[in-house]
Amino acid sequence: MIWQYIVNGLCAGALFGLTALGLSLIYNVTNVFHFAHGAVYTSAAYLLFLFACKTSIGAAPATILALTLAILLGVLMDRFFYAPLPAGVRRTVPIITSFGIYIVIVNLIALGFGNDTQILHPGVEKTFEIGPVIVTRIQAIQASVFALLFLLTALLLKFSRYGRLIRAVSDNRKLAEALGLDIKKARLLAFSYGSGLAAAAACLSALETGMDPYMGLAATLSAVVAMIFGGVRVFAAAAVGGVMLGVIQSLVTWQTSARWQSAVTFAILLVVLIFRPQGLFGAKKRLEEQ
Amino acid sequence: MTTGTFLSLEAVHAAYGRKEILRGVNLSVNSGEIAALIGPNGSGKSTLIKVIAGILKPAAGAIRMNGEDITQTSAAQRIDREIGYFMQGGEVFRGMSVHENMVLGGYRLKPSELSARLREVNALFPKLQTVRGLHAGALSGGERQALALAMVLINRPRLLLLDEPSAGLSPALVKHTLNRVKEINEKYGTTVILVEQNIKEALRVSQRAFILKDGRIVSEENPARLLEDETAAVHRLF
Repeated sequence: MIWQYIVNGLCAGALFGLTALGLSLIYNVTNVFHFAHGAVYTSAAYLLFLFACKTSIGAAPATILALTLAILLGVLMDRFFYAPLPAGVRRTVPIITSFGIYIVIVNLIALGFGNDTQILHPGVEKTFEIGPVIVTRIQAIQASVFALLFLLTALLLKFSRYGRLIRAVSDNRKLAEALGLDIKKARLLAFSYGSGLAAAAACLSALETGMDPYMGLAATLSAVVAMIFGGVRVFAAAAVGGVMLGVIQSLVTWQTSARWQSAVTFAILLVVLIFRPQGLFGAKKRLEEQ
Repeated sequence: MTTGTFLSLEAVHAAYGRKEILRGVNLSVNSGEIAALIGPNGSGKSTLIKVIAGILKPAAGAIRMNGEDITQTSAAQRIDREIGYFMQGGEVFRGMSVHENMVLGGYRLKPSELSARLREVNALFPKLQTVRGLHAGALSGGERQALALAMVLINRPRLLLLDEPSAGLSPALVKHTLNRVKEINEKYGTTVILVEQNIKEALRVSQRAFILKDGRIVSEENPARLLEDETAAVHRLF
């Protein structure tokens, strides 16, 4: 029984992990706490619903179109709302801006599609038995996409010129500016790639449980907890934190009930913030760096 | 060997928000010389270096390099015009390897030039070659300063702006670092503007000293003469 819950948790955590990885990329490069990540998430699911269920273009083109438009939405949010904010503005300003964007977009979606849950993929899902564990086809897709995107992101960050640029800007922005690194490009890359990861997670989630206009809120809150849990300054840690959070939530459901998931999630957040603020995989800053 | 004016600043003003730091700085530095900027804390030395590097835009005044007005150019454009800026304290990307740091130093170089330049700086700082895979955050203070200098030198700057290159180093390492600056100046004819807390060492390697007080250049001195009578010099400076 426990293995079934662990596998379920791993698959749910894979989606938290992708969303958290995207959020971490954006936060580390731009210092913007991009709460409207949740609006990109919700938009991607509804765009997929729109193209897959209301047109006859087919599943693959619908997915590509939904992902592309969600990426564009994330980039436009930065271009029109965050980037024009003057340097040195209080940190609360982009956060409030972000909340504003989130509320407007989610309400527009609710106006257009209603508050009810929309189902993307009705019917009984095909399953596989692996020993004592039953895995649905969608869960297998979720886990595979997570593994693929996690590996791809790690390789791009480590070995590509643009990956180095992103890591450099997030490591020491002032030095990056002094060396003439292309900060605008790093920002564009972070918002587009980060939004793409959230959009992919949203589409995978919509395939399994459908969608409602408020799905992005829960996804973003889980991503924030995953990011802090793993370590804010380490990209991979956010993804791993997400997977671990999924497993913990699933085990809580097993031992108690799903009602306790949020309470346990935020209790973990508090414990980590008090006893290990740098996260499970983050290194403590040296005094000279603080 | 120095020839003609290379860099000139005319009535440069600069501020952080409403706080004015530079109040009409006039300065001219000759090609191939090492000029020390000396003054008490808060006199505006680092701000002046930032203005020349293009990190901080002046509120008024003009900056010319070889006669060309570069006042409105960005920091990146100034790197392309061969100005190298060593940040206060020798900043590096601590979470990245030594090799990655060097590659990022040469970010604006063409990929075809990069390998040759990496070989050049590796020859200048052979010790860094032995630790190329280590995270820069794991280096000692001296190694980190050397890496920060290598990251600037990879672009072969004609004008090198050094903001406290020996901060936090032992006296022996301070001497070594500034000797290295002197070597670079002599070998490549690089013009250097040096801000250094260790005034004695800064004067030892420089050909001219500008005294900055309350955001203005108050005098221009001969470093050798200042070194002859240190006590009188300290009184005059501060």
